[in-house]
Amino acid sequence: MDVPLGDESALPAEGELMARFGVSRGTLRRATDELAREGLLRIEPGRGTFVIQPTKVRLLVWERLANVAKPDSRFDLDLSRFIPDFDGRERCDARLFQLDVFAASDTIFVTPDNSLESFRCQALADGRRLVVPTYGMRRGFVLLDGRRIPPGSHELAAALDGMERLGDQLTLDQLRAVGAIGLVVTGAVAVTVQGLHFGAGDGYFDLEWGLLRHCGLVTAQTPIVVSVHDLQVLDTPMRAAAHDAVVDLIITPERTRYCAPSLPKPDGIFWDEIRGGIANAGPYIRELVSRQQSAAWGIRTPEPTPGDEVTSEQGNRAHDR
Amino acid sequence: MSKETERMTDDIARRRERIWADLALVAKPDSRFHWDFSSFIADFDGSDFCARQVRKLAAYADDGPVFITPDNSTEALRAQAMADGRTILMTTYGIGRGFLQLDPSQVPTSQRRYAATLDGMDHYATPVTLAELRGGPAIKLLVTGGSAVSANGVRFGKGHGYFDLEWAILSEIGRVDATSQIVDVVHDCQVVAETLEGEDHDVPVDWIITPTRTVRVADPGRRAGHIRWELLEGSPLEQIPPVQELRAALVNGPRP
Repeated sequence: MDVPLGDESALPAEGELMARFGVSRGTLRRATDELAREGLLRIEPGRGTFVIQPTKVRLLVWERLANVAKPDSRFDLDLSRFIPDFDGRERCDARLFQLDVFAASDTIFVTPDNSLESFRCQALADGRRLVVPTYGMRRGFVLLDGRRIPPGSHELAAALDGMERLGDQLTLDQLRAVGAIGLVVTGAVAVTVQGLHFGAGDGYFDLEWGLLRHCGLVTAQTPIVVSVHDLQVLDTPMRAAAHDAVVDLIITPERTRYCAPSLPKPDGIFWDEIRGGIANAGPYIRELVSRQQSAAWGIRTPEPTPGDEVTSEQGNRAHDR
Repeated sequence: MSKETERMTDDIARRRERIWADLALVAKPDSRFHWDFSSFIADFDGSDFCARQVRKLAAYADDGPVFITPDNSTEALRAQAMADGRTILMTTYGIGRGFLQLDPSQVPTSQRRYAATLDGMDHYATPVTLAELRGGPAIKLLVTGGSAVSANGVRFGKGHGYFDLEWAILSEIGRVDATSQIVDVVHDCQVVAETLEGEDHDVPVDWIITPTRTVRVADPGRRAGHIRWELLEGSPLEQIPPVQELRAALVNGPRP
């Protein structure tokens, strides 16, 4: 990676790439179109093809992690599919437990990253309630209550393979009823010292944060803590966008860093940012989208209030009018 | 691909789609792959009952290790095998990181259920190379899940041939033989009533166990397995550690 991370870099000209990889123009264009569709490249007709900044960040950090990352039970070491556990992670867990905000939080939101499996297990054993998204949010969020899960089952509850058996899958309305979340803990592919967070792709964490704000479970003041390996922390300043859920605290095996406050955290879901695979991100998004569309089409689900019952006769009259 | 093979492949693909539609009604989603049945072998209602049926087989009484594939449908069986004090030999997902061996005495009682999951097995099982596996006691019982199985014991997995390869590897290192029994644990909706012609690298099974039946396949006609190098060529399976290990042994000298 010989170009500063902060800049986008242009790919060499088509002719050069065709010669280097021994492929035809058609094959090359199909490949670049595919990568552009996945949001890894940006094609500007007449100017060139650019490797976008988050792609460069991920490629750089994935390479760095090769010697410390632990494989996933399904994805092995394909780091584009998951956030890996890493050597030294138990020192991150110990630091998380020392935080005042941890001590003060009965209910904690924790992402389903492998690097947080052991933290989830310990927090459950400590009697905390955890809200954990299923992988890719495909089946929404799960509520795990450390006080209701028997000792000996916390390990299973903390694993992706076990959490849905020991927790309750939440509908959107049940999620709203969970109550205040005191702390948000996430893993990441990379994070800048200013707190800009890069997930495995697709922006799931921003969406999760947006959803929690949308449901009123977190406020602008709720701290976001990221737990990563030191190799995942980048010094390069990069500009955060309005939809980025910027973190407040970076925990690594070696240190705890407080990020200077920069942008305000997003106060809801940025619908324009939901594209690609994330558009299928499970029941909440589908439900919210359909509610939005209903609202846009002027269809409202009636919310009956006591003493305001519409009899069929009145209903008919209303219809006649 | 000949016209005939092409027709057969289409037919299998169509059957698989139909079975997956039925399976969706009784199956459980995977923690990562959701409902994408092409990426995992799903657990289903009644798989714990299947595990208890496996326990009744004479081959289960042998005290050597049991080989169990890393399918979600065989999770209850892994937990049961640990409770019964059986050593479990298994592969990692897609054989990607080779074989694992799980010693039940290393797993606390409360952790059996966790150790039986794909996420948990890595915490309790030990990676084993083929060099370490060679020379161990014969494996009398192998249990696998699948997408579908025919009445004459021809099975279909996710379509990558993982089990065929596992059988071939275990045959090459002398851990399975003609007396080893293979069990396919599936839901009733995954059993195809008619007789299907397998290809010559297919490994037919001896028993089909579903939540309602235990079926002994009459004369599955299984041959001793061996690595079909020509089928592996260019496939990602060529890169998995056990295949690399066998190739190195071939290149570096006669097989021990």
